[in-house]
Amino acid sequence: MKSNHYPRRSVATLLLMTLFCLTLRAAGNLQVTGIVTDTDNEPLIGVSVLLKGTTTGTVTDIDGNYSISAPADGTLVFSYIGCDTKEVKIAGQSNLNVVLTSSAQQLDQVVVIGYGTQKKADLTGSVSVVDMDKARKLPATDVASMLQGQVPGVSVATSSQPGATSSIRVRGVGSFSNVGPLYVIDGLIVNDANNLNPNEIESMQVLKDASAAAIYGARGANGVILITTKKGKAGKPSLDVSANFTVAQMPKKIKMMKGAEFMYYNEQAYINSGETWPAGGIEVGTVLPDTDWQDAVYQNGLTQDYNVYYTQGTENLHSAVSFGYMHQTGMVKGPDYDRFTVRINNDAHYKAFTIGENVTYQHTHSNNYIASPFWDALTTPSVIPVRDPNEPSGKGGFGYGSANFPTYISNPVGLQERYDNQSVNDRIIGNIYAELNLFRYFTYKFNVGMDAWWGRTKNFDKAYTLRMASGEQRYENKLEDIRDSRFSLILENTLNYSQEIADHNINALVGYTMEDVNWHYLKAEGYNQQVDGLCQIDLVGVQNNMWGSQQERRMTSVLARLDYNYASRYYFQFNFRSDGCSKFGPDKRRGNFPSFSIGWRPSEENFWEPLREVVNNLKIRGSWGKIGDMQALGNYSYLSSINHSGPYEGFNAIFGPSGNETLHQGATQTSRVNVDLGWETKTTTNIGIDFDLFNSRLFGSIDWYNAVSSDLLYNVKTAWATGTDYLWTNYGKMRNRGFEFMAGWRDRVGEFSYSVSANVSTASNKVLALGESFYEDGICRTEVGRSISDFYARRTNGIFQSMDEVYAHTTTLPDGTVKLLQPNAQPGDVRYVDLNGDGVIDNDDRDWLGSPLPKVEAGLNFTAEWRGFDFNMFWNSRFGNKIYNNVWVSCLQFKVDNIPSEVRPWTWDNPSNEYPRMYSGSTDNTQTSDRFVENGSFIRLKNLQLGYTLPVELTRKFFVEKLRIYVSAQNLCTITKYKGYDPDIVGGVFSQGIDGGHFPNARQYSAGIQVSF
Amino acid sequence: MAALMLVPAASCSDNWLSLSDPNLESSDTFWQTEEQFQQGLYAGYATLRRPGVFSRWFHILMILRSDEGWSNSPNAEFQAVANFKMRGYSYEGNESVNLPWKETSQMIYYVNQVIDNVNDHGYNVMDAETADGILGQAYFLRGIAFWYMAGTYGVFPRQVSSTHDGEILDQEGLWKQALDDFKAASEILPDSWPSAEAGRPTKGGALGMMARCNMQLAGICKRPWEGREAEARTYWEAAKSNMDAIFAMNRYSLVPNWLDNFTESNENNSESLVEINFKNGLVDGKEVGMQRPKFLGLYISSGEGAWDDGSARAWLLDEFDKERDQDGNMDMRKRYTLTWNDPTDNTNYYGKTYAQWNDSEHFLKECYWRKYTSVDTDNLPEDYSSGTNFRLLRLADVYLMYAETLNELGGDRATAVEYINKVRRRANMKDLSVSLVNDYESLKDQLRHERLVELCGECTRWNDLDRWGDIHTQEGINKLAERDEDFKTFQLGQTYLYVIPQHEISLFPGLVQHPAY
Repeated sequence: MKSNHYPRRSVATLLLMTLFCLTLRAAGNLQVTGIVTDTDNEPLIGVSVLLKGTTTGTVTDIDGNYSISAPADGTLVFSYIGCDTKEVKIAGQSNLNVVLTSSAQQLDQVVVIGYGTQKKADLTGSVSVVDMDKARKLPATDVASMLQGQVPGVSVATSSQPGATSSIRVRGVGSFSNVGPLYVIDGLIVNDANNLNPNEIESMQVLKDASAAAIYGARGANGVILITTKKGKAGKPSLDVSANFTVAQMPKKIKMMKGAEFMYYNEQAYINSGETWPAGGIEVGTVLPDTDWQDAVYQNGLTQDYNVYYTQGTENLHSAVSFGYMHQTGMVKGPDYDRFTVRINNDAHYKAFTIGENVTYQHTHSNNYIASPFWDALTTPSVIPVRDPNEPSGKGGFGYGSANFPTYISNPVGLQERYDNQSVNDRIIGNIYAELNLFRYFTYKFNVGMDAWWGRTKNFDKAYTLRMASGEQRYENKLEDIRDSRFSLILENTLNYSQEIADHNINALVGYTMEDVNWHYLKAEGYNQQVDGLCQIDLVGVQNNMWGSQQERRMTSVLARLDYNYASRYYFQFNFRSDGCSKFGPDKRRGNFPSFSIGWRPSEENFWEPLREVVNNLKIRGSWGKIGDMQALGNYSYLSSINHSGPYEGFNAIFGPSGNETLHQGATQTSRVNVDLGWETKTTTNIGIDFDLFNSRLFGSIDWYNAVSSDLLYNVKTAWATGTDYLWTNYGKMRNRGFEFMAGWRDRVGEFSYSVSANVSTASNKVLALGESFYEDGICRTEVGRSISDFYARRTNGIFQSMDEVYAHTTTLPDGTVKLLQPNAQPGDVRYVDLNGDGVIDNDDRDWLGSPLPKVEAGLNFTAEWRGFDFNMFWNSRFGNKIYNNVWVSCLQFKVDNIPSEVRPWTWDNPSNEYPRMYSGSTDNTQTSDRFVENGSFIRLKNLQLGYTLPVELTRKFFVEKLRIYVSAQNLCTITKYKGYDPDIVGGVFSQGIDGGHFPNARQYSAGIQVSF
Repeated sequence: MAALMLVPAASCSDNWLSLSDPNLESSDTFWQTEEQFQQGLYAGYATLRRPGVFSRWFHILMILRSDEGWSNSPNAEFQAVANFKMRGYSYEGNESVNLPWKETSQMIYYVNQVIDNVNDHGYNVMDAETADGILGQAYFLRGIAFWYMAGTYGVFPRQVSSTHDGEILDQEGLWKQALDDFKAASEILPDSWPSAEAGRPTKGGALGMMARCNMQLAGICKRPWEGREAEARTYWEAAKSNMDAIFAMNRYSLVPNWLDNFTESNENNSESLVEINFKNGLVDGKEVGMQRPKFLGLYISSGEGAWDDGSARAWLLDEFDKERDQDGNMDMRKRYTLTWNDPTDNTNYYGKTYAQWNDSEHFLKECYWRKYTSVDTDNLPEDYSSGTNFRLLRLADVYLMYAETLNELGGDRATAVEYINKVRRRANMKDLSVSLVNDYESLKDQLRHERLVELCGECTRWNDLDRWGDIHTQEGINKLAERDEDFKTFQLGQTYLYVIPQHEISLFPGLVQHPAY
């Protein structure tokens, strides 16, 4: 029985159904019997069975059985809440077993909201429900990448780095710090969802606007992701086992110059700058290495993912146990990742009392990589060998350049082999709760939860020698041993009141919560291991330094919610949360965050009756509210303190005679504090429409939002002349605004059922206040009145083709003076634009070159089922953003690094108006400019999957309830103009969209099997 | 944890939200004991050893901008310092522009905390002598800070409070502020410290720095566009009385071995008035030594030597060759100031002679810096942590300053020559005859030479050129350009002040960039 899964319609409806079956036809009729089940083969109780075109009908009993008298040529209509209605021709059969499929987009679907649940039809805030059936089709290894492209307004940047967590932004950049959404797992606020096994997840919701997230007050400002894990079910035991195998490859290869081609341009570089070609001394006939660095560095990455889920239960006791193991190697040499997860969820009910727990344990082990192999593999010249037995000075035998080919690259193969970074993480997240129903309408809930994490990292760096000498090293190798831990405890008391008085539905909630988080950190560093092959901190030759710290943060909150609707027609909701946080001084400690929302369903009005056949549901909703945030701020930022450690050089005074000096440890206050620091506040207005048409076959929603984040916590630069660098303030203000659109269509034609859904979101960002006129981080500049982190650099205008063109590149000043703009330029050099017309090319000529933030993001999902086959296709896209290709800067500087084959540097014989001449010396051609700003838009076939479920009749013979096998491919094709490996990039808040050789998304091929017993 | 379970209501829990930082000492309980005041001072001292101050950039700014130094470093920043092409807009990230300003500002902020707290309650928690000593050192350090800012940027706010910003001072105002601070220090600092405390400033050091400030102020009054001759004279007189006071202390004498002024063997010696202490190597993984020798010295490609980011100008060789010593030999000071292609040079430079290195290195420049390098200390490869103390002011300099002051006051040239001869005798040079330098110009010319050969590479030259007015007339600049072509790109009346960090122009209200930048 699955009555808990498909909530019952009111008892009245059932009675009505029963009445229908009293009127039976007598003659010429057949007695048709059968069982109605769902796709999991569970019998469905109370399914309405109606003879088409009549009022004759019946309902199924507790075992899903029905019996109805009907003409042999009649048609039966099976309908059930939460399922698609199905029509079956009797065609003379007396036994008809029917399987009803659930429709995910049902109005009566229950959605988890903060500290409670609500029917989807009754939502008035902006809540996106993730369609888990679709999200699960992607063999995602982390929670965030499961969300990519699935819901509007949630942008996710992924990579295929083993163990990496994707970055999520809900409705744009809402803070000056890189803070993501709040994660709530099974009602417990956790610090992040890193390393969570996505296979454990039953459902996910994203709270996007203030009214939806306000119950989480502080920390809800950047969205809330609610995750519910798989719970135990009543009924006979079931065991699900699944396995997935994935091969990952680099999404593409960029052809680089090799052999003679490289040598030709290398010589040009030195000729042009008037230097002797270092490689000129190589004897004719010498065979030079011809390394394909991409082949040397990249490999096939493998992922194995195994999961087991077991559930058993009685009416009053439900248990679920799951276990997962994943092993992943990267498509580049170096990184790998192991993850073990265990989850145990139990709940027990006795009369008015419920008790339950959800606990998960995660253990991960990852090997990390160093530097960027995705940069080094491109820039390293082919004439350098991977391994160089002649490498001087015995520095490990890796090639990294020589007197003939001086470079400052690091050998990317050697780097990964010589660098050892291992981190091990253990984490337990769990909560225990007890519920008591009081006086019929009240429920008191006590919830205590913890999120405990222990991390240990060992960095063993022997990679210092894999580069041509540029500075002395104080050590032969360096070991860092780090211990990090965090323990959070949350305690929540809530009292819920729920009553229906005629058409008045009232739900109210009050609560009090407390939270305490503690951090501990310890790091030891030492040089020069004394035993080859070992790396332990007590085996170092030099104990260099140690660091340690501990921190704590506390919060107390009061929360309240009033929910009212009249006849599911008019809705009103009010939320309030008051948060107190130890990060702020006594006067500013408490933040009060109210919100409200209203809704109206015209489709429930009487006048709508004629339209109801077409438009089943229409809801108009609006909300306004404020939410706070404090994540950006340090735990003790308002306290003024004495610094005992000082800057790099320390705080030591040295006194005493030659050779016998003594150090005296100093201490002083190195920064000022702002005792008036207060909460960041985000004020969001949201207007939305939800609709369902044609018997819910077409469904969708439209949202418009305007979110102003004010009093943004920002560590504002101070004039150095004050003796300080920064001061925390509440200066910043920023606005995000956009539309979100989601629509889907689903239908069934005979045995073929399909669905298409699409989501589109737009976002525009504007910085309204910054505390200073602009903030620059490399090529990115954030200025008041513009979108955050816009690209800002010089403009170019082709390449000088002759000295005449150099002499012609002038500016005439207002006083008539003609200024030659690039007097040192030669034919083949880049021509820069004197934007401000002052006769000098300098940084004052920089111009706005576009935003790294996408204007539009969209996802498109197509699924189809036919008999046992299922098919899924998922496209993901981003439009209107720019990327600064920093890897290309290195590839196109035309000095001594390697050059892409498609690029032809300017020569007299083969001039170009796009690429300058080679030049080994210092040149203006490498200036930051529009030459390296690229269009970052892309459309990507994120997933393609084909599955087949063996017929139940067949598998049951082997005691298997369900057996599904599938194959899929991810990132099979990407349509983009971007020249780097992968345009799926984000970055820091103030320096976004810069490709510094980031870990790209792999092209993956997967196969898997799912078995249920 | 029990508290967590029991606290039932929000109202009582605000106390529960008051946490103290377990990692840092609270400012509220600091500045109560002598030890804490000393710690505050030490933090100020530590800034002296930072790259923007006397570890690296002070030397680069003072030597490369003057006619002693130049650069063809691949790091364009060094070149731009030397040839005055540094510009504010394009060098936001440049260390040479930012670090001197930033780290000196920190020094001021740290010592202002000491000064404010001593003045507020220091005399209640310490005896007067201790409090005086602490306050005197703090004033001295602040004087050093303003003195440095005056001779570089020539503009800086009058930061004399740890809580409030002061008004913006021009170069003259900064020299005056430095003078005030040194004066305050000279009145309460002891004459000397116990040997274990060597390196703390003394009354003599403060007086010497006062003399320097007075002389620079006199120089400003004499600038062609100022013409405040009378006012200049009062500064010269003040300088003279400062130095007379030093001599009256009867503590200082020239060290017999001239080399003891630049090596690690005889630090804080009888000749030293102001010294910045450094220590070789690392403490807690952090360098506590001086970086200068890694930047100013012979470049050897295999890494033993220095980067040679700043080189010595070739005319210096000729200047030393103008005169031979009493025995007809080369002025010994040349040998230990510079390195050049000299067949008679058998010095061990990091394991080989110059000639031996030259076989593989093919040295291209006519000369390189040697003073302060490890060649004359331990001959180990140069690193970023030389243990040699930097002598900011030594008696030989004071003697030559005194001679200059007497000459400026138009008086006693015989005494002036006697002070010059004290310096010459130590270097085995013949005594100078008064008759040869018996007028203002010839004595001044002689002093130009004497200061050069005695103090070359000791970071005094830039302020000398400023005080003498060489960089304030086109004629002077043209002459400088003959021996240091960097002056071809010097802008008269403009680039004598160094570029202010753009960061400060943006963030400090009222601060305006010098027009040249």
